[in-house]
Formats: sequence, structure tokens, C-alpha cells
Amino acid sequence: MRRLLQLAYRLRHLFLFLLLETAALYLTFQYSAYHKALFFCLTAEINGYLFSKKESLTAFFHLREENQSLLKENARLRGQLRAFQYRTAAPSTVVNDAFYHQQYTCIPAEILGMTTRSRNNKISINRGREQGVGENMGVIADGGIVGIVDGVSRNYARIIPIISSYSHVCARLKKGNFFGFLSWNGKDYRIAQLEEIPGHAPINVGDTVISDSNSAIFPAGMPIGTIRRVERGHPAGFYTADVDLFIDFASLRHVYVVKNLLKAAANKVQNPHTHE
Amino acid sequence: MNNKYLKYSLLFFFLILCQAYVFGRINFMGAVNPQVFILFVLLVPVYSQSGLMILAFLLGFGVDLLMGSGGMHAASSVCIAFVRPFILRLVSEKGRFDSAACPVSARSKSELFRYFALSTVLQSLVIYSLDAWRLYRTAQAVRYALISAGMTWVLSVLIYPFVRDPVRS
Repeated sequence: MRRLLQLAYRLRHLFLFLLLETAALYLTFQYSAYHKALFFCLTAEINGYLFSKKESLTAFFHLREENQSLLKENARLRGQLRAFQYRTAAPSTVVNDAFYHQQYTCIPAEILGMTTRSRNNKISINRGREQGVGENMGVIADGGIVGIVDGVSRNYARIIPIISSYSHVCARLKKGNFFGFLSWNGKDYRIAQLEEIPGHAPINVGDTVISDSNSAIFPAGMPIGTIRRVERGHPAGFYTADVDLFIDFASLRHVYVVKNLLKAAANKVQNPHTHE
Repeated sequence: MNNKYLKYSLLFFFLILCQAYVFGRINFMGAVNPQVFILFVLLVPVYSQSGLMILAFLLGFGVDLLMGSGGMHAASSVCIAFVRPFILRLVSEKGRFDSAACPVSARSKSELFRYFALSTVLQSLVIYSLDAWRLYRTAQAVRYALISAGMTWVLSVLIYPFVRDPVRS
């Protein structure tokens, strides 16, 4: 012990040097935006690589559930084919995305890592800038919206899911079209909160909540969940409602990153004085 | 003694302000700036390595605060403070000084010039490596570092006669 203390005393300058350098590097990566971005890219690549190795080991054990999920999705998509649809007399009843005047493409991605128990949950996926993923793109899954891309590295991306205290997504009631903001109180990953619904909106337990096209992040009409409980909230005159989410984050494995091809044009219309 | 403390305190703040508002804004070739603030670390007569490193950290941190560069200047000046005794021993002419504790002002011009040269090159390499932080930009970082070190060396040699008095007292 005595020798250990003597050694530590002899190396005190080196320890102080390492301590001060660590503090300086921490400050560099914390407060310089350029270094922060570089550090994020580096850690995202390392994390993504490690997660993908783990995923390749564990994927085999989930094959049966994956097959079931893919079969269900296939069945749903087949049902949307023209050949599978009944043509009514009125052609306007054919529902496709053109009804909403939007154009989206999807980039399929696998979830590499996810938390559901933290207040600020995050999801890592195995698609990045090389595959066309960019910041602020929406992420959906079979069943509803998942979140928004927060950071992108070369081959990986980080998503802020709707079950994060940082998440605020525009949503509206399917019945009546009244919109509010979907947030999460950090308690139960299966229940989110829809806030600031106007007090005169007809809202009932069981009503469906869908995505709104205001942000141009998600396609309009993507399912989110159903109303579980309604109460008069803050600010006064507005409703706050608990929403049972359609997506079960605990069993989520595949997602789609949504790329809005008309987003730039939409932004230009919404902010005509912004120069890019 | 008090006079010496006052002069070095003034030099400390003067060099931080000069670095942040004059030398740090030259941006030669887009990104190259002389790092004249390290003159304080090179000259201050503090011979405790720990004390010198803490002073160097505060000096660099002051520059970083004013320039919004995080902690790059702090990292590089702490590095110089850590290796100062080794560099001083390295540049000492044979038989003249065995200790790094000898005042800088008592050294010959050739010793001083070599001391400034080694220190500025090392400091610039640290700061531009941190600035680049990418392997493919290594060659550019080294080029910038050498140009910056050259500019720092010239300016340090020019400024040194004006700030050497505190060392002698």
C-alpha cells in the first residue's frame, strides 16, 4: 500500500496532466458544435457496428416471429392491390396516397438498439446517410409512427421515438380533424399524451389518433393510437388525452424511414423568406 | 516579488485578449492562426509542473471561452506545460544547465530559439490535430500546424524582448 502511494505521488504530474487533458477534450466535444457532430458520428459508427454484431447473433432466435409479422404485412399489402379491390361505381372511392397530395418513399431499416425504460428513449437503426437517411425524417413501422431521425452518421442513424420526453409530434383526431401535440410523460411506453386539443372538439374514448401533415415529416393519416382517457387540461379550455399506442415498442424490430420528396418545396411555401 | 506577480497577471490576461481578438482572427489560408498565447506558458517562472499545468489550463480555457472553441487551446497549452521541462533540458547546451528550473531569460539566444521552435511546433500539432480530428485530413493538419508554428515562432521572437523584463526581476 505504501509503495502504491509512493508510486501515485511520483506520477502525480502525469495524473494531473491526464485529468486536465480529459477536461479540455470534454469541453471541446461538448461545446464545439463541429466536434460534437464528429464525436456523434464516431460513436454512432462504433455503437452501430457492435449492435449489428449482436443483432446478427440474436436474429436467428426471432425468425418465427419475424415470419409471422411479414406474413401479416404481406396480407395487408396484397389487400391494397388493384386486383384485390372491389371497384365501386364512384371512382373517387379508390383511396391512395394521392388523396393527400404527398409523395413519400420508404427506406427499410432494422433496429439495432433501443431503450423503453428511460425518460429520453432512443433507437439506433442500421441505415445512415449512405442509404439516404437524413435528419428530421419520419420513422414508421407496420402499425403506426415510431419517431423522428435525430442524428445520422455514414451507416447508422439515431431516432427520437414518440416515447421520449424530447418528442413532440403533430397529431389529429381521425374523427373531426381536430389536431393537437403528441408527447410522452415518461411513465408507460404503451401510452402517450395528446395535448392541446380544442375544448369544443368531439372527443371520446376509443377515437383514433392519426398523424398530421403539418410538419411534412409523416404521411398524413398514419395511425398512432386510440384515445384511452380524456381530461380537461392545461391550458384551460383544451383537452389532454391519454393515447394507447398501436406500436408496441418492446417488440419492434423493423422500421421504415420516410423520405418526403416534396419537403423542400413544402418548406419553401411555408417559409418563403428563408434562404437555403 | 509583488511586481512580478502583477506583471505576469497582466501578461496572462493581455495574451488571452490578444489571442482571442487579434491573432485568432487572422485566418491565413482560411484556418491558420499564430498561437502567441503560449508565450506565457513558455516564459512564466513557475517551476512546479503541476502549478504550471493548472495555469496553462486556465490560460487556454480563457482563450477557448472567448473564441468558442470548446477546450482545444486548453488541451494544447496543458500539453506544452507538461513537456516544458523536457524541452528545456533538450535544448540546453552541454555543461550550461542541468536543470529545467533555470530561468528562461538566463539562456542563450540559440537555446531560446530552439526552445520556442520545438514548443510552437508541438503546440500547433496538438491544436490542429484536434481541429481536424479525421485521419484523411492529417496531411492538411500537419501543413497548417507547421505554418502556424512558423508564424508563432516569428511573433514570439519579436514579442519576447518586450516581455522578458518580468523574468529578470
